[in-house]
Amino acid sequence: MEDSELVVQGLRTMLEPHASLVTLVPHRADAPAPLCDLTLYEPAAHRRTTGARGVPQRFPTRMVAFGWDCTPEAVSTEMSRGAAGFVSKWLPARRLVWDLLQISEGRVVVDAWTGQTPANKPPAEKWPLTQRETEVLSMIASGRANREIAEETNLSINSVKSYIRGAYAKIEVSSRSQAVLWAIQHGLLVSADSDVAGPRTSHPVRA
Amino acid sequence: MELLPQSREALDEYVTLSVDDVEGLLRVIEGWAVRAVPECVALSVTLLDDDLTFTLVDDVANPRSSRSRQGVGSAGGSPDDRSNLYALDEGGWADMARERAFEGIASTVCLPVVEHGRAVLNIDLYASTAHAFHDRVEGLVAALGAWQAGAVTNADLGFDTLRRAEAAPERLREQRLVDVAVGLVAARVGVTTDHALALVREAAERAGLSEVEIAGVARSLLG
Repeated sequence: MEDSELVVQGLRTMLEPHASLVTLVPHRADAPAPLCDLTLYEPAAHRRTTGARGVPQRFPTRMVAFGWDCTPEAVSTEMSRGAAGFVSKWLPARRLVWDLLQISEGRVVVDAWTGQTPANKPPAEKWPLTQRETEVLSMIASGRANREIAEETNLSINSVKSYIRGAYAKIEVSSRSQAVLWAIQHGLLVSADSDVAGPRTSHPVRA
Repeated sequence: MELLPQSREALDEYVTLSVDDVEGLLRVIEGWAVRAVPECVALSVTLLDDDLTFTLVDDVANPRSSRSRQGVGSAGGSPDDRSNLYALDEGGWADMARERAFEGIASTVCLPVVEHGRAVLNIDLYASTAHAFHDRVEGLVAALGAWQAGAVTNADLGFDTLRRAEAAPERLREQRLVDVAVGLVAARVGVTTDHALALVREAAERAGLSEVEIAGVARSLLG
């Protein structure tokens, strides 16, 4: 990763208990790029050095925005610049590690959690979907047909459709494309080739 | 009446927040239609917003119960033989449905259903006698909540809605591909899904490809 010493040392301490999953490799902009799976960068630093329309310095790895500013504008700016994902610097260690593992497996993850409750918004809500709704929604996002979802989950078609309607109502979307967008923004996108119910791979990630 | 196999397949894939049970809706329409017009041998309902047609036809797989073949000669083999043959595969079943429906259809009526000044449904009814809908359209309009001034008789003696119903599963498959691609593009570019759909359409136009083809490319790159 490329960031201040304070952040690098702090992150290293945070990730120490997860050393079997993630290895942190510091990187300075003027040094050769290290061999790693993901590159974390601070969007604000890049905006300072390359201008608002600048593209982050390219590494031979996937770029993951890792910032304090988690506003929708900041997230959409980085995703439109080609980031493989966006993770908040406010995230607790376990959740950060989980997000990075997801991204390293090729999923698009945006986790802009800040732990802060804006004064004009209701308190942070818990995950709105049931386990089944979450599973069905992730399969919708990966492009599966209802009949395929029914076969893979051993649910009836009517149950699948009921879960879809329930999920749409809870996340307040009215179309499949909006549901796909929501699923991506909440880290649910599962590759069509992967086994949804199967175990997650846990290859160590170097970032 | 029975659902066309393609309509069954389309109903499995179709999800709308406005109607919990589309098949139930079809059955209610069937009930009203058959009560008002006993000669009714088929009906199609087209959801105009989604451009999707679902069709119910008389019990073509059971020759003894079909009302649609009164006085009609067979064109090759006995009806029982053909039923047994066609019952083996879905394509043959649809062919048989069309063949028998064509034989049996002598009159049609199309009833548009309007909500807030906008047509949302077309209900097409098909009957085996030429005057089945005579003096009955008003009752059907009242029963089905249709728009009387928009009712059109004998405009679909060729049973075109059956072809549309047969195409519904493929149309839903293509729509699914485009929907997923639009969601992926919206997430990647950081825009709304409406904007992302416009981007997909623009890309398709510039590339001279269909939206479905562009959706496939988007999914390969972003999925």
